[in-house]
Amino acid sequence: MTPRRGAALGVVALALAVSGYLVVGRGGTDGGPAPVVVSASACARGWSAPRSGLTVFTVKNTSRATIYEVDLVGANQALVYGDIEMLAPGTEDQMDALLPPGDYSFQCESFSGATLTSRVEHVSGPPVSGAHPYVPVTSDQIQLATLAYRGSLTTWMGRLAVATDALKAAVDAGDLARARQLWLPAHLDYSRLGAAYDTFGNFNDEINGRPLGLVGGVDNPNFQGFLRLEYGLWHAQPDRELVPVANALDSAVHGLIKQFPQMLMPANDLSLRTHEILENTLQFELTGETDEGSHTNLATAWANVQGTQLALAAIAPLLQQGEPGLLASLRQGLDKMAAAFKGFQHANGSWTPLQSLSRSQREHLDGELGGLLEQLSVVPDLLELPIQPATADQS
Amino acid sequence: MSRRRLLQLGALTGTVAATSGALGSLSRAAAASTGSGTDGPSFLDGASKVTAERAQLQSFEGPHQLAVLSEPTRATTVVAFDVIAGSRAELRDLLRTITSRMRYLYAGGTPQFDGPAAPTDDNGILGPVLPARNASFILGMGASLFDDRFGLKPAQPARLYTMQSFPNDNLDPAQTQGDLSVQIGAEDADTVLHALRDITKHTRGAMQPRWRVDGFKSPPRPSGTPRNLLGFKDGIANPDTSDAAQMRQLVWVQPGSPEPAWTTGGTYQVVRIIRMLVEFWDRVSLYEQENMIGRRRATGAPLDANSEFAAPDYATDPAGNIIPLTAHIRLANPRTPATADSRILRRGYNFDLGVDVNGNLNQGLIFTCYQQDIQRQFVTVQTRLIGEPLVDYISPVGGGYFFCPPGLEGRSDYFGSGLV
Ligand code: HEM
Repeated sequence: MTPRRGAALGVVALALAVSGYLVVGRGGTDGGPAPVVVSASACARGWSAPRSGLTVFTVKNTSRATIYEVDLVGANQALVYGDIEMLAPGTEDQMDALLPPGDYSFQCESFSGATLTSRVEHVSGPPVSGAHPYVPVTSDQIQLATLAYRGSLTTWMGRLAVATDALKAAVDAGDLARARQLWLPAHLDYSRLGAAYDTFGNFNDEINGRPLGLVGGVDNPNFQGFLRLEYGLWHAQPDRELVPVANALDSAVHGLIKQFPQMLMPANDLSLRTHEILENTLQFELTGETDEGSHTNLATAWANVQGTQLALAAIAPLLQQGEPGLLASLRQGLDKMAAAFKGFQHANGSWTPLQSLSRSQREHLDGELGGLLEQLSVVPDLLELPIQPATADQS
Repeated sequence: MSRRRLLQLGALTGTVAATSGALGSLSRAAAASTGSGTDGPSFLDGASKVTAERAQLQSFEGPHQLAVLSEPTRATTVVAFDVIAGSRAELRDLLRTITSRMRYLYAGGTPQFDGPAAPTDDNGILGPVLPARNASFILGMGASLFDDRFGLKPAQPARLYTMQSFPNDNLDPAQTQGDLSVQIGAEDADTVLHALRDITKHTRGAMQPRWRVDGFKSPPRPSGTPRNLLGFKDGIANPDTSDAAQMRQLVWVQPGSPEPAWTTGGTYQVVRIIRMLVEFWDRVSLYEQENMIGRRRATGAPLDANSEFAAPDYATDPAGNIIPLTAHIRLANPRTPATADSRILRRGYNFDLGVDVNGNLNQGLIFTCYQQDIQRQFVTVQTRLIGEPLVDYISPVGGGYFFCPPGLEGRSDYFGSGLV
C-alpha cells in the first residue's frame, strides 16, 4: 500500500478517527459558521472564526462578477488551508478546511487579477493533527519547470529520430526481420516522451495512433504510426505494404521534432502528465489493449515510468519546497515500479509477454501501479495554477 | 428471525423498540425484519427498522464479527482479494487500514479532508455526508494467506483449508479462493459500491481484487422469507441466531486445541457461487420442482405442512412418500440428533450477471454459510447433497473457504490483531 503523503495510511486514518476529527461545523446548517460573503469589492467581510478542527464554510458570491479564487490562508499568508476555484456570480459553494488554532484570513481574487484580503480572525480550540495546507506555486515556477522538462524531451526526441530513421531504413531495404528488432527501441523512445492526452496534437495520431474508433479497425488507412507498423510486422504483411507506413511514421517524427519548439504547453500540463502518463499505462498497457502483435506492453510500461520520472524531475524543486516527503516517496515508488517492469526483460533484450504472466504477477504489477497512482494523483492539485484567463491565453 | 430475538434486541438498544413501535405479532415482526410485507409497514419503513436493528448487530466491538448473525441485506457484494503487500508489517498496515475504513464507513459522518490540494478522500457516491450505520462488513482470510509469504503458517486456523472441488462442481480458478474476503451489505446498491470503492482506494498497492460477485436479496413475495431465483423461498430454516448456546455450538470458534488462541470467537465462512440453469428449471413441472426441494413453491411450506415456518416431520414419513428422501431440504438437514452438529448458518443472495455464450441468463445464488468447522458442517452437508436431483439445475462455479477473525477489543484494535 502506498500512502499518499509518505505516512502510514492506516495509522493516519486511525489517528483521525480517535481525535474526534469527524465532528464538523457545517456552514449555514447545524450551527456551523455563518456564510462567508465575497464579492468583487469586499472579501469575506465580517467573517467569524470557527473553533479549531474541520469546518465546512459556505462561501457566497453576492456580486455580479466572477470571483475566480477564494483562499483561506494562514497567518503568514503563505499556506492555503481551503480553496474554491471559480465562484460564478450569485452562486455559493462549500469550502472544507481543517484548521489548527491560529490566525487566518480569506483572500479573494477577481477576474481582473486584483486580490482582496479579509480581516484576520483567530481560531482557537484544541490542537489539530492531519491538516494539509499547501503553498501555492507561482506561474514563474511552473514556467521554469516546464522549460526544464521541454529541454529533456528535446534530448529524447533526438534519440527517437535516430531510432526511427534506422527502422525506416530496414523496412525500405525489405529487411523485415531487422525491422522487427528495431521497432521496439524506437517505440520505447517515443513512449518515454509521455504523450498522454493529445499532448502532441495530431502528431500523436500519426506516430502512435490506435485502430480504436476507426471504421474497419486495423484496415483503416487512417491507422498509422508505430502501432500500425507493429501490426504489419507481426502479421506477416509484405514490405511493399509497410514501406509507406514506415516512411510516413518517420516523417511524422521529424515533423514533431521540427514543430515542437513552437508547440504550446498549457501551464498545468506538466503536473498532469506526472500523474496521467501512468493512468494510461494501467488502462492501455497492463490490459494488453495496445498490443498489435509484438507483445511488448511491459516494455512500453517501463518506458512510461521513465517518462514519468522525467516529468517528476522537472517539478521536483517545486515539490521539494512543500512536500519533501511526497517527493521522496514518489521517487522511490517510481524506481521500484521501473525495476518491476524491467525485471521482465531477458538477458537477450527480449521481453516477457504480458499474456504469459501468472495471475499473481499481474496482480502485483496492477496493484503496485495502482498504489503509485494514488500517490501521484496529489501532484496536479498541489501544483495547480488558477486558470487565469490572461495566462491561459499566452500559454 | 424469531420474535424472541427482536424483543431481546429491543431491550438491548432501547432505540430499536422505540422507533419500531408496533412489532406486535410474529408475522409483522418477520415482515419488518425483511423490509416489507402485505400487511406490514411500507418498504421504506421496514428498511429503516432493519437498519436500526442491524446497527446493533454490526458493531465491530466485542468477541465476534456480529454482521455474521444479521439478516441478509437487500444489496451485497462479495469480493475476494489477493494480498500483494511485501512484508508482515505491511500486512498489518493493510489489516489496520481495512478495519479503520470499515469503522469509518459504518460510523458515517463527514468524510476525511486531505487538504485543499488533494483529490477528495471520499468518492461522493453517497453525497457530502455519509449516513451512519448503513453498511455492514464481514472480513475473512483464505488459506493462501497462511502460506510462507508472511510466516503465518504456525498460526493458521485449524479448520481452514483450500476449497476442493465436489463431484458436480465446475470451479473456475478465476472465481475461486483468495487471500481475503470482504462482504459488504447494505439496503441499497450505491451504499455497497461506495464502501467497496472506498476500501479498494485506501488499500491500493497492498491488495488487489481477485473476483467479485454482486448479489441482492429480494423483498418478500408476498410475505415471509424472500425467494431465490428458482422461485422458492430461501433461508427459512436456520439455526436460531438469538440462541447464544447454539451459536457457540455451531458458529463461533471456541477456545482450546486444536485452534490457535487468536481464533477464539471467529467463524468459518464458506462462499459458493452457484450458477442456476434457470431456463432449464423453468421448463420443469411445478410438481417435480417441489419434490426436488421438498417445499411448496408458492408458500414455502414443507410438503407435509401448511406454513413455511412449520418443521417437516421426517420421522412419520420414513419412506419419503410425502417429502422424498432425495429432496434438497431432507438431505441437507435430516433433522436427527446424529446430524444436529452438522447444521450451518446460511445466508443466500441472488446474483444476475448478464448472459452466457449460448444466450442463457447468467443467474444464480451466492451461497454463503458460517460454521465452527467446515469439514464437520458444510462439507458434511454438501456431501449428503452429492447427486441430489437438484444438481442438474445448478452448477457451482466459484467461491472459497475463509476464516472470519474475531471482533475488536476497543477503539484501536484491528481485525487479525491476534495474528500479525
Ligand atoms: C443453487 C443452489 C441451492 C438452492 C437453489 C437451494 C435452495 C434451497 C431451498 C429452496 C431451501 C428451502 C428453504 C429454506 O429452508 O431455506 C433450502 C434449504 C437448505 N439448503 Fe439449500 N439450496 C442451494 C444450495 C445449497 C447448498 C450448497 C447447501 C449446503 C451445502 C444447502 C443447504 C441447505 C440447508 C442446510 C437447508 C435447510 C434445510 C433445513 O434445515 O430444513 N443448500 N435450500
